[in-house]
Amino acid sequence: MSEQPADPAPSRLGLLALVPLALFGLALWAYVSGALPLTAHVDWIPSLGISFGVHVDALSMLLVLLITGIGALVFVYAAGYSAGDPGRARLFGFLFAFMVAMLGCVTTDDLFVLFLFWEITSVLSFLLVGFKFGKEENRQSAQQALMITAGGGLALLAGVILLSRVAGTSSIQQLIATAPSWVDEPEVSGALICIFAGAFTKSAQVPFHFWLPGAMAAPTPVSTYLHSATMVKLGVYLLARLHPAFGELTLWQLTLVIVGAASSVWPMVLVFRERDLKRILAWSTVSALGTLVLLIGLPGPGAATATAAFLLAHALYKAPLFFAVGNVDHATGTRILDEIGGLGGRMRFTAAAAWMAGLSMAGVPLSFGYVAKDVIKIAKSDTDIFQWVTYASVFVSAASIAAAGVATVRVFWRRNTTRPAHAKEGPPTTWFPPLLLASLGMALGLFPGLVDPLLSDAAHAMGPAASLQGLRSDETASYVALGVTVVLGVSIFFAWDRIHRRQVRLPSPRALQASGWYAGMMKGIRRVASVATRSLSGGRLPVYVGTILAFALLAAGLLLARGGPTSAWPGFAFEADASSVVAAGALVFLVAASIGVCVVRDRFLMLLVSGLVGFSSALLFLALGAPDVAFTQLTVEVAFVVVLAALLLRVRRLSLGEPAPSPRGHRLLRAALALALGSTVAGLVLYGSRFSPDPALTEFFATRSVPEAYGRNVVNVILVDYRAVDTLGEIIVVTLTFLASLPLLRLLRRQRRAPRPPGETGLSDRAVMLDVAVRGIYPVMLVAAAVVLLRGHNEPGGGFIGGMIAVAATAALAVARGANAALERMPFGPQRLAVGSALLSLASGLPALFLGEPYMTHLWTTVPLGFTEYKLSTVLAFDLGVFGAVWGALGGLAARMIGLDERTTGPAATERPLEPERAETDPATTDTAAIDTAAIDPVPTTRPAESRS
Amino acid sequence: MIWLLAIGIGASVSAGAYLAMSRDLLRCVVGISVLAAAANLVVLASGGARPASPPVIPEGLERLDAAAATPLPQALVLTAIVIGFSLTCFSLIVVLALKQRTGTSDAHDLRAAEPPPEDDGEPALERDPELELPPEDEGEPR
Repeated sequence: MSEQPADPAPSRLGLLALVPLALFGLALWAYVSGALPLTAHVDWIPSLGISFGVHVDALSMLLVLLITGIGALVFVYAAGYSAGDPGRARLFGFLFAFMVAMLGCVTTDDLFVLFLFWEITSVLSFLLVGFKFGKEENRQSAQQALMITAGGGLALLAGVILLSRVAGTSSIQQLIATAPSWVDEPEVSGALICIFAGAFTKSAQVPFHFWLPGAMAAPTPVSTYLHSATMVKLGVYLLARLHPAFGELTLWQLTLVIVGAASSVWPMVLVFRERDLKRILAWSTVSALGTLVLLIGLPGPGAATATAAFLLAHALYKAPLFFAVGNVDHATGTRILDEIGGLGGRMRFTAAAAWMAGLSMAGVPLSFGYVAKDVIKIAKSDTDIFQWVTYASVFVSAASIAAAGVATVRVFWRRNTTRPAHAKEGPPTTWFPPLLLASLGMALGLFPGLVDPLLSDAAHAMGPAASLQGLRSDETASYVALGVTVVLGVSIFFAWDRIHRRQVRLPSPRALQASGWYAGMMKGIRRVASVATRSLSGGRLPVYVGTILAFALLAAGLLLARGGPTSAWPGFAFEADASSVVAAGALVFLVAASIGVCVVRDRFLMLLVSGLVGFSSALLFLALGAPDVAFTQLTVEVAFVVVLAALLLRVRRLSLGEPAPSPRGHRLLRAALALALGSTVAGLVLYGSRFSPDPALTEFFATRSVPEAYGRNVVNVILVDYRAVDTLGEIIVVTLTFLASLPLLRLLRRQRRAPRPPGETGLSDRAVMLDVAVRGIYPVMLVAAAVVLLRGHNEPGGGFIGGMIAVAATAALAVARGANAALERMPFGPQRLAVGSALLSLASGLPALFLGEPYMTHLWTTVPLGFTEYKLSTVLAFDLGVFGAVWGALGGLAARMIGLDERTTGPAATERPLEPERAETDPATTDTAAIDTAAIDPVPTTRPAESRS
Repeated sequence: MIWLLAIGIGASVSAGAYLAMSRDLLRCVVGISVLAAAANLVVLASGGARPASPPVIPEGLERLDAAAATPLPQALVLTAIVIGFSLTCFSLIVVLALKQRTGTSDAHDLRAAEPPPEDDGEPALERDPELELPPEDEGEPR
């Protein structure tokens, strides 16, 4: 924040502080009135045993009071701090969301819900650290904080899953209650390691400590709230919460003591490298968190009380110090130690707050910090196994005294010639919160009995605990120890700059820097991703298709290998009955077409040969007793060949261009893979023929068709009645395909106005014979289609086949007389016909609903027609819909594709095809067309795609 | 009969797979439609591959003859054929549109979505000026 001549008025968003304040009051009232523990239970995912269970005991309450109490002050502070900042609404929004997530985290009884809120706090921490995202450095810090805490969160999830599997519950209270029965299971160790990873990353323990100083890029209210008072304490809270279940395990105690001790000592060594006040405070926060973790791991009744006391004491002194540093930053524009000093006279309230907080941090008698440190000392001395811990803690305490001195004495009282002249106190919203918190710290130091019940109760939640007062020592030895620590701390304070200069001169091997490891890891992730992307996703379609087919081969091969020996396959047998002979003939065609389609170079020929594959499979269908399928396939092939023939001319005009032939090795590889796949699938067919399909299904259709569905063509009955909803879906797909291709076709038509190369002939130079023939055939085909449709329910035929016959008729007409002529002869036009027919099918199932029957139950009535009668049914409407949808969609598609070949658009084209076209002989027309194209075409055809490869 | 079918299926699957792996998009489309035809044969073969009469109940009878073909696979294949046709047409149109936009139908040249990696091995990014971050602001003013 820069120095501003007149501070803008505090933001009104600060009124949000009333919410945490009300919650604070409510929580306090709940505690005082003895309502604890509060429990509630709402099922969330019963199948997984996850519920929104709430369990608020004194430990949770301690955290709730910290979150809401400090939260209220943070909102007040932020109102002044962010006044005039355009991003303040975002700041308040994130902070508020964070507070809610924190409250969820500490009040829930379910580990999964805890994980959920835990990750939300990580994400909000990311957003808040990167609040000033304009700076690259801040974005890096935010990313680092997220990677580490959210990564740890995933480890926590793994741990929670493992734990809930072992214990059979994810409720924390039940875990604690049932722990003795499963805590010795080997899986518990794995679960604990994962949970440690989650807790240590969140609470910035060694070796994940480095993200916390980085997170100081955040605005001051955020650093105060998230990165000193609350969020970083979540890891400590989780460990304290689970302590009753695992406290007896050696793994638990050893890990916590070692990691906690290392985390309390190491940052106090690193702190001398820093000149930024906020980073100095951050390192001391890491150290304090380490002390808390260490305390949880220590045995003895004093440890739990000490944890609770220090948790509170740290929040009460660290938050005011952060506030104070924020005020200094605001007033002077810098946080660098060498540039500030002697501000005490100008910023009295801030200085007073910092002074009291600093005393508490140093552990000077009469402050609450002293009470906490006193209890810690006793807790540590209770345990003779960890003697070295005591020596380490003397150093940590001394260094804390020195750091407190740096943050207070140096900043506010030491003379400094370079002190900024314009520094002045900010508005009350910025100095009131630290002053209140720091005074509270002093008051509780004088009257620790005020919080004794709460702290002892909280400690009881962690295990056997003593009361605060019962632990206090008044032995001379403790004063002697205090004296030693203070003398040491004061010496360090005066030697601070000297140690700093010496330490920055020391070599700092990268291998010892956790942040270096982190940077290496991030680079490694990018590299691995890059290598994997290049090898797996090279951007080449043939490789993708090949990979998919290779996996299909693998799957089919495994299936076949499990199927047993080939001796179980049916023997090769051939009976020379009529249908077998037809099948054999079809097979010869099929194999020949399959080989041909692969070896033919010419595209036109290749497409025609591919049509042969369809024709020969139609013959096979016929031989297998599937006339409906065979007719459908035949009509499809007819339409396909007609469309292709028309398209091919288009393709030639576009000079599609043969791609460069693949290297021989590639082609051999493709051939080998294709043959392997083909023979494996063939093997599967042979293997599968040993099993006959479920006879119950066949029996169902065989016996029910006539009495229930009044149909003798069972295939049609299945399509329009038993599986009508399926069929409906399929005609909708067909209709949508048509609609989806319309924009593409329009694009192609626009391009189509390009002049035809001289000498090229198109289908529009149509033979008179063809035209005459089609004129005669078209109505006949439509009548045939209608007959096939109407008789379909009892004899081979039906909507699909009828529709395809109509499509073939339209395609033929389009070839002979032009696309527009064909499209105009379709009733309602293709789009409306297709969509309307699909809707008709959809609606034909509705009447049944009024009779209380399921959707698509068809209704029947008999209409007398003189000497005969006709059975009228909603089935007919359904099949008519199928017919219309197929005709409209595929007929429209085919006609428009054929129409791509035509030279001109518009109604005039309808009657023109018989006349030979003269356009290409007229150079003037050609030129105009070319310019026309250039003007309309939005996409230049020479897009630089080739230059890239 | 099952052997005839199996050989036919094997041949058409091989041809379809070979073409589908082609660089030429047109061949790729044809390959997929041949594969679809082969899949139809497989489905039909699952109904029992034997010469059979069509699954139509003759007039006067109430139930399907035991010698008739299994009807369900036929119903499945019938719709699959029609859908296959519409999808093949659609794919052809896409190939044509691609050719028009990019000037090529060679799959190896179509790299707009996945450009080849840069020289230093870093994955290439298509630089879209609209997606670039605005120039950095000065952050917290001093």
